[in-house]
Amino acid sequence: MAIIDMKKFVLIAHNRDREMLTKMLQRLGTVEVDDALEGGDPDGYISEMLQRDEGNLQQVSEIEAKLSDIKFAIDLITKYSGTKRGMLVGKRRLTQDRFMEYISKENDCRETVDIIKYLDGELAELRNEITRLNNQISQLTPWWDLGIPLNMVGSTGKTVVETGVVDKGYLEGFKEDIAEKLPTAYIRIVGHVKEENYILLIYHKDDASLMNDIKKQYNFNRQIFSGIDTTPKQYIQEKKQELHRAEKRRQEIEDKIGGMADKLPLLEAFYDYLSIERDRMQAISNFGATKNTFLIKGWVPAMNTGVLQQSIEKVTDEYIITFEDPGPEDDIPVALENPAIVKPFEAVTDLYSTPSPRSIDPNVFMAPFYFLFFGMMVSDAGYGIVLAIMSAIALKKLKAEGMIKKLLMLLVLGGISTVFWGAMFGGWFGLEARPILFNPMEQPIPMLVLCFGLGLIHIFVGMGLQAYLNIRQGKIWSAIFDQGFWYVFLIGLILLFLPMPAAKQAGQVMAIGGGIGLVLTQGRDRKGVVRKFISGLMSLYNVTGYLSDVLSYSRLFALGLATGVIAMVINTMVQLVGGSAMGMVLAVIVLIGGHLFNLLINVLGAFVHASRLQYIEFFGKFFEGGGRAFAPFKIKTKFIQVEKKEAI
Amino acid sequence: MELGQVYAVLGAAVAAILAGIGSAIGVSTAGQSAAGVVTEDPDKFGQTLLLQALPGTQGIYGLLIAFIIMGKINIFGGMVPVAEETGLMILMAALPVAIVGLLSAVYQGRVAAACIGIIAKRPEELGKAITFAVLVETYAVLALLASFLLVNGIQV
Repeated sequence: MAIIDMKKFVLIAHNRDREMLTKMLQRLGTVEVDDALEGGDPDGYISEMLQRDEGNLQQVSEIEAKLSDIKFAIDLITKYSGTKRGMLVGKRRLTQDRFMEYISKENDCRETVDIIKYLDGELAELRNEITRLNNQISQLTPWWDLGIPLNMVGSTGKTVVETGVVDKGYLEGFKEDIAEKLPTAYIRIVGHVKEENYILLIYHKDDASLMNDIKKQYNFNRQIFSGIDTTPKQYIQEKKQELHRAEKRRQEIEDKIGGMADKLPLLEAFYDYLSIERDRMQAISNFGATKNTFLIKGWVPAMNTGVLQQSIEKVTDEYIITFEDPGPEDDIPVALENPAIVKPFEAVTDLYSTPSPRSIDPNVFMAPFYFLFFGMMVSDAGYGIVLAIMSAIALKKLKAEGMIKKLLMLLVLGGISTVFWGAMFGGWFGLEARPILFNPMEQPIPMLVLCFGLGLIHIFVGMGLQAYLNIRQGKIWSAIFDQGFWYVFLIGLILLFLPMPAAKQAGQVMAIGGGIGLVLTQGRDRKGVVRKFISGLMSLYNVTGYLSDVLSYSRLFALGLATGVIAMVINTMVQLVGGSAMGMVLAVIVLIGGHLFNLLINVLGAFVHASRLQYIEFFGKFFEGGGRAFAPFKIKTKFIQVEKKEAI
Repeated sequence: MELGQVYAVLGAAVAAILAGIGSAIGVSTAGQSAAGVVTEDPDKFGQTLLLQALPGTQGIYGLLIAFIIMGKINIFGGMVPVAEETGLMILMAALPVAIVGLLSAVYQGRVAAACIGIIAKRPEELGKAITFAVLVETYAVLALLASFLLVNGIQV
């Protein structure tokens, strides 16, 4: 339940053991590998001898090219085979034998990738062809009724045959002018699309200049077709057949790609196999190398030093390893260790910031409050049951890992807390049952007192943690002045508001005593007595900060109210529509849909606001973030999970 | 029909209308940003949706107060008589959630839109992004509470 102690280590061994040792470290998954050539050592003589193994970087980029090919193939097959792989689908589980069988088929994998790449090339060509055909068809569709082969458009011995487009606005004038000035000319409107009229013109060559004037006047836009010796109708029919063939071919290829879905497990296994290898190469490129040896610098959790050493022994006995405590300058990676029940709450802190390695892990202190607050804000026992069960099912089905697993666990716990508070306040799917504690709707003031009380405890715990941090750093006076006096002052102020005279008196003494203490000590960093006094006095103004912090917890009530009232609205609506058979169906839809919607919105609200109470009100008192999460060198997979790691 | 009842109904309507308008604007502002981010990276749908949904709660708070007022004047089962002063008081009591709901949702929408920008560049900072947006909501929550306590305290 804390931040794990880390040790720096330096491991030196023979090059001939490098492969085996690296594999072992990756399987072990407990060391973080730093760049051995950075930072240097105090004397500098070792760093001077070290070099980087550049060959590995070369290999890394080669593997990456392969990986992107395989990823491309996987994506394409997934797309055309209709297999849905959602974001939340768990990894495929493989036995060790099965995995070995897959990775022995490198040729098969490469072949599949090549086929897919080839087919994709064909697909691209087909897509171009289809676009081209569609353009040709749409270009000639208005000329469908032309009736003459297009190579006849042009000049014959004595006549001119022309095709062109005239806008609707000019059409009448164009026709009239021709009829008037050139009665021998033939004009036919072949078709029209929107405002454009497609026109066939035949006239005598001698009339060309007169015709040109008319054409200019009415914006006749001449169209020329080349290389087509059939009528538009025949041409379009031909192209449509071609299009049909191309589309059929495309479908065939897509089906063919989709039909390779049985290769997916192989490709995925290979993808993961290669990415593990790439990770290993990348790690090696961080090693320092001499002619015959290599050097690894990195971090290991203090409790795992023994395991690490034993694991190395199993590979070789020719090695040197040293462990060292981190110094004040070191950028220590942060790993947290918490009991299983607190683990889910790490998600909340992770979303905010990794704790600083020199601070404390807040999760164990934060967890009970988060648990209580979440439930209070949803506060409907029925919803709590649904939420806990749904999240538990999701957890089981998805075999989720990491962040998603933590969040789902958090929702399960939140659901349990919701059941508790729902029973306390008597809310069951918006129906008012007998509350164990009281009904906040009817007794808002006790509810507010409860919220503020919990908030006060939360804040006091936060201050307590800061006091602990101060003491741990040897600043005992800071703990007394900055937290101790505030405790006395704040508790005194609270006691003042209690109705009992004895409490009032005690409160007076405490508030005045604490206040004087604060005035005297809060300005201690300032120079000069006057400045010290003024900033001490000003510090009392911070009481407003504490006040607004406490008032902030009224959201526990408000959000709980929102759930309850909306649930009641839904129930009322259901009663209104009930009655006929149609009404019954509608009622069921409103009932289920409405409550699910309400649950969703309020779970989101509870999650977000419970987090906020931690981030602002609680963490603000003591938390120091900005740590760097421990990123051990380990086996990371995307698609598969091998039951025994020895295979890799 | 008494004037007091009219005031009370107006109070319920104002709470639902103004807070609802605010949420609609806020959610749409954030939604436009979210759409831009998802165009570039469809995997960020979940995270951006979370932020887009945040300014939506004010509308719910408004509806909640509207519903409490409806219950108060028993609108579903024959309205109870409401004195003119009482009706006006109910109308006033609805104002905190109506006005603060409207404005806080609009401004929360802007913060949410900016925070969606955080998600575009640094998706790992979701927690901080949410915190920024939620800070605005605090005041809607406080207004909701004020309206609730006021409506609750008025005797019909």
